[in-house]
Amino acid sequence: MQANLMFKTFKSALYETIPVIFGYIPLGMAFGLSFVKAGGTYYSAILMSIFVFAGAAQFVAIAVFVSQDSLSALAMTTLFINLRHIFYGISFVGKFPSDKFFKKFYMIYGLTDEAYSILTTTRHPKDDQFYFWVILISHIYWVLGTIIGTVAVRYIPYEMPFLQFSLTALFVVLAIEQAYTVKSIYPFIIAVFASLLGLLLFKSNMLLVSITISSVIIAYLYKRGYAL
Amino acid sequence: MNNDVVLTGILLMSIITFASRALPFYFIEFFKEHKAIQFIGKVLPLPIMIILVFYSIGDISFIQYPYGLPEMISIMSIIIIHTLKRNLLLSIFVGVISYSILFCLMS
Repeated sequence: MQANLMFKTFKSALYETIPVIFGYIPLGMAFGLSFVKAGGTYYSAILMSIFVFAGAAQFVAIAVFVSQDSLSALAMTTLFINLRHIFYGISFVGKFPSDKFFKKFYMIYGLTDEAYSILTTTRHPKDDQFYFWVILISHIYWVLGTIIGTVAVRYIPYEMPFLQFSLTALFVVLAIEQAYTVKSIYPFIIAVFASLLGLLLFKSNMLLVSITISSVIIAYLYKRGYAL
Repeated sequence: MNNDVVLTGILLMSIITFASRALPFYFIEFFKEHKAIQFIGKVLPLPIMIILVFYSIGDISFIQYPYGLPEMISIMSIIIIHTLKRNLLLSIFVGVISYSILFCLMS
């Protein structure tokens, strides 16, 4: 691609990713801050944001590290939280460059919730160079937010319960976005039931238990032929 | 937080996350064939997100004052504003402000 055209595509991507700034910088900061406050090193936080690039999973990982759960618990938790990404790729099969291995690898690698929503709703002509810039820019914002967060720890000496709730808020929003794709009430009922049961029995360790309960109920419904 | 565990964890999470994103690209046939996988992938994420909501709230008591009201009311306000405006940042902002106010009022 000519340099001129590439620059134009870059500028469009920069414009289209403005909403990402407002999402990833504060959230990245919250992550970096929480991670360091929980006892992690600043560079581990940054490494995680570079190499994992998954907000929800990264936040939950902090809790897993603190409670000193096993790595297999971490693996399972990460897997479940990131399951929804499986469906993001479907829209882009065949649209990512098949001749450039590393570019394609990176673009698949960076397919986050935000990237997906931008790439599927943008009115810009859908060429892979544009996709690439959107993902790269988003990634940079995320890492930048994390860096700022790890640095800000020095200047924020007290605990902020509000920061903790911003994570809850994120999950609520992600849940609503998921709810738009599922047309049934059953998952909601199953989840609330499993959550309350898990909280009752296991308090803060309810995550995998509740997910297991939900999976079992859903698998049972599937076997019984519920189309959902 | 044990840093060695963390670094290994990062590697693990990185692979798993990439795998979940790469699955449709490299296993499109397998994926299309197995209806069960499609079903799971379609239905399970929503319950997981909802469970994560409760998980992130942590230890709250519904039977003691403030009965979990700041959390529940804030969540309701997020649901309302997000279904209306569908703006990530706005919804999170509204939720956090609402929670901060209620938390200060009620505790």
